[in-house]
Amino acid sequence: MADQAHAHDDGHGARHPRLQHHFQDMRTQQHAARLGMWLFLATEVLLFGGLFCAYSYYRTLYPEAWKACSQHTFRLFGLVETFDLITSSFTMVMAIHFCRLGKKNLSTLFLLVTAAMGFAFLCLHGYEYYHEYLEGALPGKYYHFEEVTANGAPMFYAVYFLMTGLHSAHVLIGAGVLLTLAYFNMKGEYDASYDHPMDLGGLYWHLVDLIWIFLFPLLYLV
Amino acid sequence: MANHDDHGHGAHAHSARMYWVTYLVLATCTVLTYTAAQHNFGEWSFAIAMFIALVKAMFVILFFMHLWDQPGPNRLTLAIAVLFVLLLITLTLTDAATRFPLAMPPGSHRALHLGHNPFGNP
Repeated sequence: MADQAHAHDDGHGARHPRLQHHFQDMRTQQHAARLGMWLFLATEVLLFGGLFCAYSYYRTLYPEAWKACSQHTFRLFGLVETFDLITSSFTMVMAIHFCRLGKKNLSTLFLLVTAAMGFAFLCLHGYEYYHEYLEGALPGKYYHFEEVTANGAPMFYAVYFLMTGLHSAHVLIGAGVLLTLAYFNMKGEYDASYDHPMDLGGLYWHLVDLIWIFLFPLLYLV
Repeated sequence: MANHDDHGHGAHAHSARMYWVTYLVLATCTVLTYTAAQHNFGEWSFAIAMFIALVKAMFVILFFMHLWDQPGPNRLTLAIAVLFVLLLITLTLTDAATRFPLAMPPGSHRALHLGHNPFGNP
């Protein structure tokens, strides 16, 4: 055990200042942190899973309404938002990549670009919401969209607003996390030997992207 | 390249080529799913859209989220969460598909319309 601990202390012999006393080396600490994050992401998958289940259930009840309503979503906006999120996922991994290469400023820049893309996503979605509000494409008793009168159309918009709303809340939280990471990265807190917070923040951001990968075809395309 | 992660921190700086490839795959798949949606594939449209989404998701999970080179417990955690979501959806849909028509909400796909014999063929 002692040999192993020495072998992973970054070759300096001394303990890394960020190494908690109950871990034997940085690698074990990062593995534990990642497993903890994956457990949290699993609960996120289950949280969204409930909504995906509601989507599937109401879609089988009201297939005509689903078809008609999804044709009235802003498809092109959905496409741009998808590109926005996958690009932001890419800039996120590049931020971690540059952090590990020791290029602090480049890494901070990429984190800021990622956060900016998150905010751009929210703006685009806000614009969609505003238009749907004006058209009366709203959930439940507030529905008064004249172009789609199929049974169950208000249910589509209930599911649509719940799913995209919960997702947008995640984007907002994720962008906040990214800004915090950028701040600490700028102060030089992270480097190749300690990038765990950036690693975990990245995992969260990719989950947000992952959920959208399914939301986009389900709500806008089919 | 993929297994560098397990050799400690010094080897973390693997090339960014995999990230570029993943990004290109994601972008291509996005264009593909959008184009496919403009055409009418009937019953197949949903399957095609979901297949493309699955491919994109696998690339994000394996390479952006690094499950490709991470230890088993992390993979197991995600796999079990996804399994339970699939169970939830499948069992719920099985219920909806096998329900007595009178138990379906009025106006829904399999609900009875007025004038039909509730005990005849739906």
